[in-house]
Amino acid sequence: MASIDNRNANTIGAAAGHGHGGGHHDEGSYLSSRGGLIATIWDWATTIDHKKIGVMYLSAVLMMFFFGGVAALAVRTELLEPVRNPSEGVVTGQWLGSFLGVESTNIAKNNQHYNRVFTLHGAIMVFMVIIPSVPAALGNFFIPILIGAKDVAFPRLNLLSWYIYVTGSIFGVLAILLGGVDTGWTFYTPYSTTTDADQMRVVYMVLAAFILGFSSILTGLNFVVTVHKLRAPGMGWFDMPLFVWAVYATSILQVLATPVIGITLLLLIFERLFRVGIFDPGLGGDPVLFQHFFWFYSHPVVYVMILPGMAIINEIIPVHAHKKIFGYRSMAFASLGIAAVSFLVWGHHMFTSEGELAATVFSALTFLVAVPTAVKVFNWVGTLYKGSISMTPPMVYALMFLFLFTIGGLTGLPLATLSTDMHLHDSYFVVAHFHYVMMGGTIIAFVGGLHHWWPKMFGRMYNNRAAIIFALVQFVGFNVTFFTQFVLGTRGMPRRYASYVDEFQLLHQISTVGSYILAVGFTGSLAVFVHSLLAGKKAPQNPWGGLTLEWHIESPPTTHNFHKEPIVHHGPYDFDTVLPPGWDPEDYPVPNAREQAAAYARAAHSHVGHEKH
Amino acid sequence: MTTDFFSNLTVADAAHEYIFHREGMGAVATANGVEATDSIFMFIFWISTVVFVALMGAMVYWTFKYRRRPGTIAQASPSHNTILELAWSIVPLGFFVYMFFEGFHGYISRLVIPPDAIQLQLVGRKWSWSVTYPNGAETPVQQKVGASNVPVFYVPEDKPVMFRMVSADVMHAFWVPDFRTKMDVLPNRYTAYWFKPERLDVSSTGTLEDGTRYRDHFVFCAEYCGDMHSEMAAIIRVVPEAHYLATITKWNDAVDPVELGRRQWAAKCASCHTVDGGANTGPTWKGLFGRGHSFTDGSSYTPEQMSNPEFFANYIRESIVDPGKRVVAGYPNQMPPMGGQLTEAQINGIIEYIKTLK
Repeated sequence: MASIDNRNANTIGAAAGHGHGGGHHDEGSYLSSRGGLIATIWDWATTIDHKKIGVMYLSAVLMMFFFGGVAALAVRTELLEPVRNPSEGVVTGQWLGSFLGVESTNIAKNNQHYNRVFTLHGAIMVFMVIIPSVPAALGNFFIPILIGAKDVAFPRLNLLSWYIYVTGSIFGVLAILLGGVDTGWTFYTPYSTTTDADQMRVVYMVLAAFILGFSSILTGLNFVVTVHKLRAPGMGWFDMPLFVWAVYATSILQVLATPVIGITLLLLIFERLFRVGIFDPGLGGDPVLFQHFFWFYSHPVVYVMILPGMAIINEIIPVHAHKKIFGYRSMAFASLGIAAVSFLVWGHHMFTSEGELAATVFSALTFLVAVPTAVKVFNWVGTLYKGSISMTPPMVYALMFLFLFTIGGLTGLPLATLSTDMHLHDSYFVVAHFHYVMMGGTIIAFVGGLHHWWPKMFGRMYNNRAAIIFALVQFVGFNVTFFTQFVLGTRGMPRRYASYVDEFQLLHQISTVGSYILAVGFTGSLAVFVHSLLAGKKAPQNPWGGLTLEWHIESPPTTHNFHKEPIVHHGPYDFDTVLPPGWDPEDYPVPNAREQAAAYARAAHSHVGHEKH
Repeated sequence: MTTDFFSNLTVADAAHEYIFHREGMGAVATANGVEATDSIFMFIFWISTVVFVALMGAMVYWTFKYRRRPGTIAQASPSHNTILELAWSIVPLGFFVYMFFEGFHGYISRLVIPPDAIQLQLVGRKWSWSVTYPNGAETPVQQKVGASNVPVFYVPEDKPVMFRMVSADVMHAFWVPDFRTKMDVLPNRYTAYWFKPERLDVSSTGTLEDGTRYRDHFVFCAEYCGDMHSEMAAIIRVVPEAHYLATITKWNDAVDPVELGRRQWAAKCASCHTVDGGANTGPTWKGLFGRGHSFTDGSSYTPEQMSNPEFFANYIRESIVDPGKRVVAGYPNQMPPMGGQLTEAQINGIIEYIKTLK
């Protein structure tokens, strides 16, 4: 095929696209099992295949997403009602309280349930879903394939990362089973060092975040080395798919920033257990110090969460618009630029902490991050211009991402502006803003990426129409849920409130209804995937007509991905000069086929034939 | 006026000039700086709306116009354009610089306190606010918001007022949405919050019993601080200066111990302890004198012990200065030590006040 040297034509020719899974291959799909149930389980548990590890991460992330989602629905259901006078028999927390068997008249006890559930939602979604979702699940599966490698640089380290993730999650679940944690996912001191002082739950939850951090560090390290050392012959830095660029930038952030939170969380545990005064002023510490430490990690991590989401959109849009991405280099540099500046903006979480002049520096730097982010959005929309756009489910998710992420980005502006942030900080405006970015951005991109690569990962197609319908349900539900929260925030609704003044009730009720619609949408997507696994049509090698390397191999891939080491001759998005592998004039008649064929011939017969970008 | 969608509460008769409402209705601002903050917010809002509509318009139009048709491939088009790419980097940057300076200007004006500001001491604690006036007075006025009683702080119209704020325990944040600004309240250092309420005008005021006009504003705690975080509210009541001065003088008059205790309850205890027998975070004070108690450590006091005035007084005093020592069974150990925030006379007042609650 076009991108591959002639020597490999026997395995990656057009014929392979049609004769998927043919018996002439020397090895089977990575999914095929070699024995009974126990042997299969043992095989998965000890695998060092990056694809199996990716699939295991995927199932864990989806399970955690379910738990976090249930917690979110509980929070929204609780907020249907503002506080009521106990003498009238209804108080906030009543719904959760009755579910958990608590008398309905004790406001504090019922609030405790609310506070534990929103902490649960935040901690699960941040530490166990969003951070590992794209890099650990999809990244593990596709980074090696996209650069033409058999596996990551350190496959055993990769398996270790997975077990560290599992260990961390177990501590998190333990903290929840022991009664939950009410610190919020941010663990602000001195509240977090004094609440439930006689219990170990907070320590377990902090320990969970600490352990999960090591999983991030090791995965990041693995990807950095993999990208540096294992690219296929012919793949220069600027021939890499943009997904790889963005995950590479993410990995650098993870390696550099995560140790800071590790140390911070250890200090927090020391203070709780041994009463060493670091953050608690009662012991001679400084509570604002914790915020500095925490956000020095957690702001870069905001980009650890969003950059991989952007990474997926970088792949979906050119493939499904069948057009070269606009501004490849500015996209790559934007990823690195965002990653670099993200280390310098942590103070924008603390504009109202003390009213320091230093806040102005952080405000200015924050606006600086907005520039490469805006450039990325312009590039994506620019890519659509004169494309040939298929409205496939992944493309629908990508367009949803553009809509939601643009709102998320623009609503960051009044939060970066010092004077307006003094009003909006810690309000529902912030809640809506980061949900538009984290959920409308990363989660929607993640689900879109899952649709994009699902046929490759599991070798099955799904029902396109049903997938699009549920995507649109999610889109409607998302906006109903979170757009109302912008209005609530500007009106004065503080975040993390179990109860609120009456005038906010209508908006809260609309938001709750939206969250139910969202739940229907995600349940539907799950059903689409389950149906695909059980009864889906076999996926062809290249269902969307992509040019990157994963579309040159079988669906699902064989254990070693490639039968021979691939050699790359063109850029990942050279749709103007190269035809997709498996391209069939019957399927996609091209009017200027002669021109295309000539370009294809040039590329195929030249060993230095990859185009400039 | 508030709009109670499902009105079953007496909520503050607050002004609630929200950004969109105020801009749309052209209502007067409630305090200094509000108009500046709102106008920069609206500037960002309109810029964002234009950019968003343009981007989404292009996206939807191109998605439709260049939809995949059988027999066509993507038309040739450039994938790179230096001038365009520079333009869409530099033009937003110009807007950002403007937003930054506007925000900076507003921020500084929020931080620099006028030298003639009236200085009030504000303490935040789990889960209530209290304010001490320059003459030492504290507010006895409270109002029911939701299920809790919250204190009402009087301030004069058209005068700069500054709170010097400190927390007795964990972090809190003092937010008056109507004033468009908030500031964290830290346990280890003072922070400051100042505002200058606009003059009362006919359109946005209520009337007190004596005919004085006033305007209320909600205060919310904006930094998560535990179980009753969402009940940690207060009301700032803007009144004419003469009424303000007369009121704080009246509050500071010598009062009998029972009234002194009632005022302390209203200011510092009412968010957790009811006096009418209702349930709340802490035990109700109604009938406390002479009521037997069981504690979480297994010990108990008999009704006879609790009817002994000296025994009872010592128990209440201990519960105030060292609340964790004996916690009534069925209640969480959540009360912060209050000894440092009450004088001996005030503690005595609380004891005498509780005795009257039969």
